[in-house]
Amino acid sequence: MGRKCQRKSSHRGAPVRSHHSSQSSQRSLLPLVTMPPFKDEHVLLIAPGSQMTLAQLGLPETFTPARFRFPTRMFPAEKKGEYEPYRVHERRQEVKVNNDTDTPKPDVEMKDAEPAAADGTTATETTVKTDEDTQDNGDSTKTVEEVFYEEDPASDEGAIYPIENGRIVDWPCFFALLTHIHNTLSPPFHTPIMLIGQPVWSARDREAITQFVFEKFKAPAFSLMDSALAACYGYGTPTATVVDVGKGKVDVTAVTDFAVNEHGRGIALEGCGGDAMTDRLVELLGPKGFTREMCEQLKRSNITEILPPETPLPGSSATARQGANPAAAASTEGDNGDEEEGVLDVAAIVSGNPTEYLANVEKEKTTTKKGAVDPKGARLPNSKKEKASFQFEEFVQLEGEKAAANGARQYIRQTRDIEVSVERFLLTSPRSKVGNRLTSGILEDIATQVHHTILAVPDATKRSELWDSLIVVGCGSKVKGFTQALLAVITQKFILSPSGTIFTSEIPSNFTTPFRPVPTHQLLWVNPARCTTPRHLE
Amino acid sequence: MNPSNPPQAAEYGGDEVSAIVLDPGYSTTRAGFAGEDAPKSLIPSCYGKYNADGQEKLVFGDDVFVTPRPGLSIHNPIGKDGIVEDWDMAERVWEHSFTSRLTGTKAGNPFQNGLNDVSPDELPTEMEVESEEKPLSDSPLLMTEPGWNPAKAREKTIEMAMEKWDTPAFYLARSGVLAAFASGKASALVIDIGASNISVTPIHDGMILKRGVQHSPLGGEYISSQIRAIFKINTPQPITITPHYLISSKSAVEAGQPAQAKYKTFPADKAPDASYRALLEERTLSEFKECVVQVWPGPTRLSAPSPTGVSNEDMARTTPGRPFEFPDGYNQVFGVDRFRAVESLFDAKAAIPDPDSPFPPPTPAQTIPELVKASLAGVDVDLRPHLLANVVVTGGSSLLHGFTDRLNHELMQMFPGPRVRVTAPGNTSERRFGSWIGGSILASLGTFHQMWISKKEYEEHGPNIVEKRCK
Repeated sequence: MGRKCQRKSSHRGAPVRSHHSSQSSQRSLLPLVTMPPFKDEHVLLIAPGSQMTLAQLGLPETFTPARFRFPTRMFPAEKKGEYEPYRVHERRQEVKVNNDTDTPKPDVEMKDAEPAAADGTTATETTVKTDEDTQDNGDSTKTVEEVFYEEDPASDEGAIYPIENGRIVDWPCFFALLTHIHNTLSPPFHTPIMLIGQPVWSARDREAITQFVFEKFKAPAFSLMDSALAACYGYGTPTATVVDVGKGKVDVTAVTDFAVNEHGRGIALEGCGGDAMTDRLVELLGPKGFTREMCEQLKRSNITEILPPETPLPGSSATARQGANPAAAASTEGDNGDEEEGVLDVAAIVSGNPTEYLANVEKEKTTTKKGAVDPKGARLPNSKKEKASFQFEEFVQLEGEKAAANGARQYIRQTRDIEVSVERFLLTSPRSKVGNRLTSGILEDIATQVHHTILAVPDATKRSELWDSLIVVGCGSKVKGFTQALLAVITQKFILSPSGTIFTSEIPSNFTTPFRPVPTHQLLWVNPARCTTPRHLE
Repeated sequence: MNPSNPPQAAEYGGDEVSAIVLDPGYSTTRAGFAGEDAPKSLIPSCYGKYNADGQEKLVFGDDVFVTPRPGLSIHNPIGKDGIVEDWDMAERVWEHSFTSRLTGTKAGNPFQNGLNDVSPDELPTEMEVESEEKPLSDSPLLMTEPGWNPAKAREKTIEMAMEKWDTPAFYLARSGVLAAFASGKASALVIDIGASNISVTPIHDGMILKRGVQHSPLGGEYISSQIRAIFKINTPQPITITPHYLISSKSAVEAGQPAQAKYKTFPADKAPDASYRALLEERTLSEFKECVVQVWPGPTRLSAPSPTGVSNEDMARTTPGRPFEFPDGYNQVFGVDRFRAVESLFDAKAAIPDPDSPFPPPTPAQTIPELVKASLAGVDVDLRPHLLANVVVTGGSSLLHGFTDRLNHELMQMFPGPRVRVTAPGNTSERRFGSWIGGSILASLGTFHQMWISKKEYEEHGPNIVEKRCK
C-alpha cells in the first residue's frame, strides 16, 4: 500500500505559498475561462494517465490526493464498440426453476450488486434466463441453464488500455473511459470540467477531446490544462522544470512564468518510466525465477532504493553483481511456504467495508513482519543491507469445488516473503539487452533531456532559475531515492559550482552569463501525492 | 454547422479550418497553425540514422540530441544553400514536424471517434481504405521557400503537398516576403541571418524583386567555424569541445586549468558517427554564441583605429571578458576573441584563417555590407531610399549581441544620404521565427482566401501552376 501522503512544503527558502493561497490561485483560473461563477464543489477534475486516471468532483479545502483512481482501461463489451469498466465473465449454471410461484428467484449474486460507496464501483448484475419457451411443461420444477454475467474487478484479462505512453491509442475506448468516470461521479448539471492533458497530445487530439466533452457531457465549461503547468500551479511556482515520470515514458517541461515552453520540450521519452525500471529488475532477477509481477511489487516495496551514483553497494559489489549466490537463489524460489490467509471474496473487498479490510491487511502485515525480521541486519539502514526481503502478494483464483459452491469467482490472497540481494539497488542501471541506446541508464537519459529542455528556453536569463527549481512528479518517481539520484546525475554531468575566479573577481559585463546554474536546489519538490490513495486491488 | 461534416471545398481558407504554416530551414523546421503567434512545433531539420536489429532506423526531432544510438549518423536533407537535396527525407522530416505536435499521425475517422452512433452493419465497406488517410487532408498548407529556390524545387514541393499529404489547398511564399509581413511592412529590405546562409531580399508591395536577391554562406555555421578557429589558437591552451554525451561526470576546475572529467568510451562498432559529435558540438557552440560572442558595435571596424586614436582592438581588450564553461568543465574568460569570431561578417579581411575549416576564406563580396550594396544595385533607383528606410533584420543568428547596432552603423556609412532605419524585433522568438510569423499572418487573412491553389486547380493545371500563382 502506498506511503503516507506527505507534502514537503517547509523547505527553507522555497517560495511555497500557503496551501490556501495556491488553492485560490487555482480557483481564480475558472472565471477566466467561463462567465458564470462555478461553485467549487461542482468542478470536475480528471487527470488521465497511461495506468491510472485520477478524478475528483469538487475542490477540497486543502490539497489532497484525488479521491478516485480509475485504472485507465476498459473491457470490450459484448456489443462491438461498447465498453465495460470491468471484465465480465459469462457463466452458465443449471438452475432449478419453480414455475408455480411467481416470487422472484433468490438472486445468488445479490451481495455483489451492492453499490460500492468507497470507490464508485457499480457492480450491476444481469441475469439472463434462457430456455424460457420450455416453461409450459407441467412440472413444478425443472432445470434450466441460465447465463450469469458477473463482473470481475480483479481481472485485467482482455483489457484495452486506451493510453500508451501518454498517447491516446484507442479513441473509442478512451471516450468510454471518460464516460464511465463521468457517470460514476455523476456530477450535477452545472459542472465545469477540467481535464489535465498529457503533453504528447497533439492539437488535433485536444480538439477531439474538447468536442467530445461538450457534445457528450453537455458541460457548461471545459478546460484542458497541460499536466506540467498543473504541477506548477500545484506547487505555486511560476517557473520550474517539471519532470513527470510515468509508466512507460517521461515528460520534461520547462515552465516559465506559468507558460509552457513547447520548443525543446521532452515529450514522452520512451523507455524512461517506471516500466523501464521493472524491465531492468526482470532482466536481473528473471533468471532467478522472478516473474514480472514479482519485480513490479519489488519495485514498489520499501526495500528497493536507487542509490546516488558511485555509492558502493552493500557487500562486495563484485559478488553482488554476479548474484550467483546459490543460497540467495534458493531463497527466492519461494520456499517460505505459501500462507493461505483465507478465502477472500474480491467483490466483498470492493463493496464491503474498506476500513475493516485495511485493518485486516495491516494486521497481516505486522504478523508477517515479525517473522521476517533478520536479527543481524535489523538496525542497518536498507541501503547497507546486502539482502532484504519484501512481501509478495498475489491473488490466485480458486478452482474446483470451492469455487463452484456459490458461483462467484473467488480468489485466495497469498503472501510470501521473498529475499532479494543487491539487485534491488540496480533498477536504474543500463539494461544489457537494449542495443538502441548508448546512455547509462534512465537517469542519465532524463538528465540529458533536462539539460536539452532548459537550453532550449529562449530567454537565457530564466535558465538558472529553471535549474534551481525542479519538480519531480509521477508514480515512476516513487521509488525510494529516485529524485536524489536524478539530482546527483544532473549535478555531476551538467552542473558545477561556479569556480571562484569567474564569479567573484570578474565583474560581469552588462550582459549576464545566464547559462551557469547555481546549484542551490532549495526548491526541490517531490510529489508523492499523485499516488497515495490506498490501492485496494492493484 | 455540424462539426462532424467536412466543410465544403469552397469554404476552405483559414477562417473555419486553420491552415498549417510550414517554414523549413536549414537548421530547424517550424510548423504551426495560422493565426498563432509562434510555431507549435520546432524540430531540427536534420535526422539521425542508425542500424538496429539489422534494420535501418531513423530518428526525427529533438530525440536526436538526447539519446545517442549505436552508429548514429546525422544527415540533413537540405543543402548548404538552403535548397532541398534529398526530397524523400525532406518529406519525412517535414511530415514529422506537423504530425508530431499538430495533426497527429492521421486524421481520426469520424465513424470511430465515438461521437457517432453507427452500428457495425452501417459502416461503409471502404473503411479500410480510408484508414490510410494522408496527414494533411483537412488542412490547407502554406509553405515557405528561400528567394532563390529553383522552379523545379517549387514544383516538387507542391507535388508533395498535394499528392503525398493530400492538402486541400496550398501556397508557397518567399520567406523574405513573410519576414517583412511579420514586421508589418509590404516593402522592405530583408536581411536574414540564418544557419547556413545570409541573404538580402528587396521586397516591394509584397512582391520579391528577384534581381536584387543576394545570398552568401556566412551564416551561423560559418560563425561556428570561426569560433573553432579561435579555440585552436586559444591561450593558455587550445580548446577542444567534448559534447556531454561523451562525459560521465565532471568536476570543478579553476579558469584556464585543464578539465578534470571522466569520459565515456564506446566500443568502436557502437560509437556514434563523427557527424553526431559535430551536431552536439554545434549545440555547445550555439550556447557559446548566445552567451559569449559579441559583434563589435562600431561605428568603425574592429581593425580600424577609433576616433580617440586608440585602436578598437585595444578598446575591446579593456571591456570585461565573459566566462564560459565547456561540457567537460573547462572554463575560461573570453576577452577580445569574442569580437573576432563575427567580425568577418562585415570585414572579410578580419576572418581567422583555419586550413581545416570546411569554409573557404570569405571574399569581400560575401560580407553583409557588400551584399546589401549588390542587392540595392539590382533594384530600381527610385526604390532604394524607401528600402533603406525599411530594413528588416530576421533569422536566429542575427540575435548575436550587438549585431543590429553594427549593421546600422555600416549601412549609415555606406549610404550617408538617405535615411536608414533598421527594424529588428526585440523578442527572441519574433526574430527566430520571422518568416513563420509572417506566414501565420498571411494565411489567416480573409483576403488571402483567393490566393490558395486548390486541389482542383492543381489537378487541372499540374505542378506548374505554382510558378504562375506564387510569384
